[in-house]
This record gives sequence, C-alpha cells and structure tokens, in this order.
Amino acid sequence: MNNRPLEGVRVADFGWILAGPYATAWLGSLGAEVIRIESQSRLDFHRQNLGAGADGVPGINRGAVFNSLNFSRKSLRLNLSTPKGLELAKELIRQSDIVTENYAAGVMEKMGLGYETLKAINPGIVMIATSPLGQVGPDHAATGWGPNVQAYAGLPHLTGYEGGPPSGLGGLYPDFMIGTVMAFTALSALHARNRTGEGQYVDLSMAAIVSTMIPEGIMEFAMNGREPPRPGNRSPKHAPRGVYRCSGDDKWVAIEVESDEAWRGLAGALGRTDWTSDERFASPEGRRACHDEIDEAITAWTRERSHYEVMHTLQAAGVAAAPCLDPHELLEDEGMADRNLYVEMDHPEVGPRKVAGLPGRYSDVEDYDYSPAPLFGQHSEEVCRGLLGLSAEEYERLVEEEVIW
Amino acid sequence: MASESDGGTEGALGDLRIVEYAQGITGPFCGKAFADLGADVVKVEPPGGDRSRADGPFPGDEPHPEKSGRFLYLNTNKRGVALDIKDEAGREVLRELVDGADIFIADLPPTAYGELGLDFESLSARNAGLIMVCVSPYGLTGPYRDYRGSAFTAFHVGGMGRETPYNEITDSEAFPPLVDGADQGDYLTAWTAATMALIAVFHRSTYGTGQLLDVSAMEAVGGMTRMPIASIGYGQEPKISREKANFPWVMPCKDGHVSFAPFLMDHWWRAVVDMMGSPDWAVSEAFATTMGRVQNADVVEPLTVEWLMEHTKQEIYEMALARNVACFPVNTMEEVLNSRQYAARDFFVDVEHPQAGTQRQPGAAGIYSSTPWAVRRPAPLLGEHTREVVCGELGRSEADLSALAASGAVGEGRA
Repeated sequence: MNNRPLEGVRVADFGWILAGPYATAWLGSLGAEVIRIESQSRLDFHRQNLGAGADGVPGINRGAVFNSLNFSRKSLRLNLSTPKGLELAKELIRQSDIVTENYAAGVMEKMGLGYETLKAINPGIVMIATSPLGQVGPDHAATGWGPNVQAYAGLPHLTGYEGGPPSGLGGLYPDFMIGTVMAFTALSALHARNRTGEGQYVDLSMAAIVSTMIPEGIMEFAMNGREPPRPGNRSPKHAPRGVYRCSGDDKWVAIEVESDEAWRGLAGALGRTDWTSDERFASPEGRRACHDEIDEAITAWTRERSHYEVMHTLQAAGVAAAPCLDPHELLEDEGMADRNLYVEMDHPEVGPRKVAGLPGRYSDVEDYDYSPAPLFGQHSEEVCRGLLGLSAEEYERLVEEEVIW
Repeated sequence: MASESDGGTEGALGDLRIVEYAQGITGPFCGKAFADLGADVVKVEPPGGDRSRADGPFPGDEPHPEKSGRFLYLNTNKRGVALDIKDEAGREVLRELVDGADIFIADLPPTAYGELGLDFESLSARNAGLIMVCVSPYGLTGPYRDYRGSAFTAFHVGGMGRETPYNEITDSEAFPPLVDGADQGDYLTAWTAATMALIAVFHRSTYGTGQLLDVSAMEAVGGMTRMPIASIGYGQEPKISREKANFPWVMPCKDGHVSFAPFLMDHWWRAVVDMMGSPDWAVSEAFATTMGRVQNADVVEPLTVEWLMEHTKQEIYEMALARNVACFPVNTMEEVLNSRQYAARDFFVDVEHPQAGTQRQPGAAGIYSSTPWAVRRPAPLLGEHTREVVCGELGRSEADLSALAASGAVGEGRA
C-alpha cells in the first residue's frame, strides 16, 4: 500500500499545545518519523488535562485534547534544561530533516536550540518556527494562543452579528489551520532542500497567516479608506443569505441564494411563485432591501421542517442550503461518513477512541497511516538506545538523573 | 519547466508547473500558495473571466474586471490564459496544458469532469505523473456530491457556525449560529488542498505515481471542529459553543475590544492582576488556578471588564506585552495596515498592475531564509498570456490560434 509518501523523513518535533502537534500529525500520518520531545520540565498544557481525562479520570495520558492531536508520532522525554538533555536533542537534530516548534519567539534560542546552532550541527536542517507575531519585529515577544492572535490579524473585527460587537470564531480558530500551514511550509522547504541540498529557517507569524486570509477587508481599507461592515450571516453580494430556525431544539439551516436562478428555485420550493413576479425581488440589491421580510417568510417555512429536510428540498431546487451541524450530528452525518474523517484510534492506556483524523482523500493512498498518540515518554528508551546510541546503563542513569524526565 | 527568465526557479517550489482551472477563492488561493513560492502557475479562465473579477473591492468603488482586489490578490505570480471549456477545441487546449503540468487544480462540479473529458483517468492517461486536485463543497462522492455550497454553507455545515461567536451569547433563540466575516470556509479549505498537493509531490518522488486528490470544504471545516469530537469520544459532553459558559475570546475596553486570555495560565493571571494594580478581589485564592477562574468566570469576567473599560486597547496591549501575557487588540483594518510589527516584517507589498495601478496587499506570512516568498508578477489580465502559452509553449501555429480565437475557443489578451 502506497501510504507512506514521507517515508525516510525524520522530524524533531518541539511543538506543543495545538498548532505544533497538528502540523506534525500531518507529517507523521504520511510516513514521516516524528519524534516529539516532551518533559516534566515543560509539560504540554494538554497533558495536564485540567478538568478531566478520558471518562472523567484525570491522568497524563488520558487527555482528550492531547490524544486527539498528537497521533502518529513517538514521545521522547528529554529535560532540555540539563546539558546532557540538550546534547541528546542536538544529536537527534543532527539526524533529522525537519525541526518544528511553536513556542513564543526566542524560546528555542534561550534553550540553546536556535537556528544558527542547529545549522552548524546539520546544514541541511529545515526549521519551521511558528509564533504569534513572528521571531523578528518590535512586538516579536508577544505571547498568546491562536484564538487571541486572530484578533491582531483583523478577523474578529470583520465577524459579528449585524450591529453588534466584534466576535471570536469557534473551532479554536486559527490553530488547526495554522498547523496545516506549518506542514505545507515544512514540506515546501524540504522540497527546496531536496533540489539544492540547502536547508533553511522559516519564521512564520500566526497573525500574518490569518491576515493573508482576509485580503478583501484589508484591500477595501487600503483602496477606499473604509472599514467593511460586520454583516452577521448576511452577505454584501448575495441575498437572501441567512441562518434560519428549523424544527427541533436549537436546530438551524444555512441558506445562500447565489443567483437569480437560485432565487426562483427558492420561491418555487416555498410555493411563493408571487416572489418571482415581484419586481422588488428581481435583483440581489432589491432582495437585500427587503431582507427582513424575506427572512420572515423563509423562517415560517423552515420552522415546520428539520434542517436536513430543508437542505434536501432546497438543493433539489438548486439552492445552496446546509444544516448547521453540531458535533453529535457531524458524527452521524452520511456525508461525513463518506469522507472517513472520524477514525477510531486504539490508545495504549484509554483504549479505542473515535477522534477526527486528517481531511482529504487520495486515490493512491488508501488511508492515512495513523498511530495513536503516545504515552508520555513511551519511546524514550527506543529512541535513546537506538537512534541516539545510548547503552542500557547510560539510559538508566540518565533517567535517574532526571535528564530523560 | 518554469522559464529562467521569469525567475521562476528562485522560490522553494520553482521547479513545479501548475495549471489552474478554478474560480473564486478556494482553487485560486491554493494555486497562489505555490505561485508565490516560485511555481509556474498558468491560470485558465473562461472567456468571461474568473467570477472573482466581479467581487471587488475596487479602487474608487468603480467595478472593473481588471481591478477587483480579491482577484488581484489571489492571482499574483500567475500567467493567464482564457479559453472556453464548453468548446471541444478549447478543452483540447486545456488538456495539452495539463499534459505539461505537475499539478492540475480544478473546481468543476463533480460530475462535469467525466462529461467534459477532463477526468483524472483521461488526463493521467496522457500525463502519467499528473497530480490532480479537485476542490468541491462536499467531495467527489457521497450523498451530497451534487449539492451546491459556498464558504458560508461550508462554515456552518462543518460545525464552526455552532461555535461562533465563541462563548459570547446568552439567548440562543435570538442569536443563531454565526459565520465569520471573511469567507474562511474557502480560505481554510485552500490550505488543506495545497498541503495535500505538496504531499502528492513527495508521493510521486517516493512511489513514481501521480494521483487524484479529492478535497471537500465540508470536511476541511470539520477538520477544524475536532475538539468537541474528541470530547465525545472521551466520554465528555462537548463544552465549546456559541453560548456563554466561560470566558469569551473578545472583551470590550475603553475604545474598542481586546482578545484577552487571563484565565488560561496561572502565570498569565498573576501578570494580569499586576496590570490591574492588584485589586483586593483579584488577589483572592479562589482565582489562583485555571479551574478556579473558569468556575468563577461570572465573577472574574465582569470585574476584569470593569478595569478594561478604563483603558484603551493600545494601553492594555502594551501593558500585556511588557508582562508577557496573552492579550491582543481587536485590530480594525486600518490598524492592521498600520501595524508596526507587520511593517518591520515587510508584510504588506505594493503590487504594480498595468490597469489597477499600485495596490497594497498582504504578502509573506513566513520569512524563508534562503528561498524568499516574492511577488514576481502581478495578477494576469484576462487572456494576457494566451498567445505566449498556446503558441510559445504548446507549439500551436499563429493560424491555429487565430482560428481558435475566431471560433471563441480561446480568448486573447487585450493588453
């Protein structure tokens, strides 16, 4: 089975929390050997599983967040605040192709693992450093998580109910998207290295990544000196567009009428043939002027129906409509079942658990080559005595000395 | 295959040749990820042009197909060919282009590929190593295959709408699930597509085979809402929602809003207490731990907001920056454009375009130390490179081109 396209690529993974682990989930699930460096001395926030672990039982190996992100890798415990721990990390990097990290800017340098040091050890190394605002610039020291950083980037300013305050996005956005960009960036630099033999350092700014994904708002101001309005669920181009109440507890459907043809489809599906002859509704601009009136009529119809029924009926009439699914519904959805995103991973401590894997399907990769998230330090001995060349005695001594810790 | 004279081999992906037949955001943003790193991307448009040419924003609010901000941004570094795939002669030109490509990015309705003879089987029979990336709302198979979708419906059906606005509302009847204001359903799907395409380049080196990549916007958004899925798998009821049960990401202050996370880490909270001047309420032991703050969010949040309301977002940001605590201003577009941090990183680029003039747009999010991101050419005019590509690279004769143009199978540039 051709499912390990990154076979032979070794990644020293210093990532933590959300974006970093998700980046290496991509690489590890496609055949790269990902070795994540962890330690008691800098324990991942999600190893601590505040609240509870699997089935309400706390434990360093039981966290839902940690285990659902850190699949397809090995766990190596190394205390980087000890000289020997640092030396072993450098030996690992000497034998690696890619280093990923998403600490606050400058942390790797402070630990003695800055790019200049790594380049001297391994000139071919590709290092992807991801931080809130980047490694250079007057505000490089800014710290924070993805959902905070999106504010700096400008996304919440554009998001919110009409007339209301700016709002943050769900999905812990943009952390997982940024993990995907990290994976792309690492592979692009590795692709260049495979041609030229030269490694390189990429300083990725999380905020800048998000700002590259909101060009319309930025260019609107740059061109015309105007802040775009917050339209809620409505659209500046298409009308009607909205989220409408359906039957059932907190059930909703999203409908976007993208053309006049779709508008006629909607009118037909709702039995409102009068709408197609009403001149007020002949254009998107006209319909937007009467959006409240149209919304009221649509809601009267959707309220009597399930969100799935509305989707099927309107799609048959050529209208883009889809239910606003909650996580329980996503797990049961037939369309998602066809994609195979949700997979069971058999974790060594908590057993088989369903989590979201990676999106996308490949005609020549039967499935991603997932392995469950490792126990804390599960592969310390294997990596130390194999790749890093320690004897059994040395390994035991370093465990006692809290180097492998 | 990229020509040296274009400087096409300078970037990290300078050896790749890509053909793109895709409109709007998703396919073109995927193509841009490669083009901005040096790949030779030939963008093929229908004779009327990519629909994003009508989207804007436009300088001076005057619509013009060569001046749409969205188009200008999404298509930097690409060459442009116009042809009509409703015409078999036009389709054959497209096939010949794909014959010379490493990657073909397309966004046709799933059943159209076969109908037009542009399916992976036909194209890869002519170009054995071809990587074909098909982006669609719901994927190339499955019960929703033929359904319509948009960035808006994708955001909602993939579950992000139910989590937006994050932790902010108290009346769920009055406030339905909410979409973001910047088409993230399309933009994030594009990153999934680009990452898969690059993986397939490695795959081809490892196994010698090209392949078809099937990218669904619903699934790409679903890949973002993975936390509540994990909660369910781990025997816990998901807590992430638009309904208020905890601290929101966005809080008001004197002159706007800030994104503040004082509750997450204990050392952040201690820094926030210091910022606030250590008021009696804040030094309470009850709030010293993350759990304590989360459980007492209804006390901690209003008292924190009371303090925030006395300070501007810039003051709060500077205080947080000095103390290493997570806090960012909710920047307006003007503030994003004036960011001193972005300026220091040369983030914005002024791209000169023959018709739109010089327009400022977002540039490199990542600074590559040896193969820099660069704008090597502005977005193409409609059909600008039709002649260069059809005659110069596909080897069609001038007479052939004239005949194709006369029948409407291809469009030539107006430049």
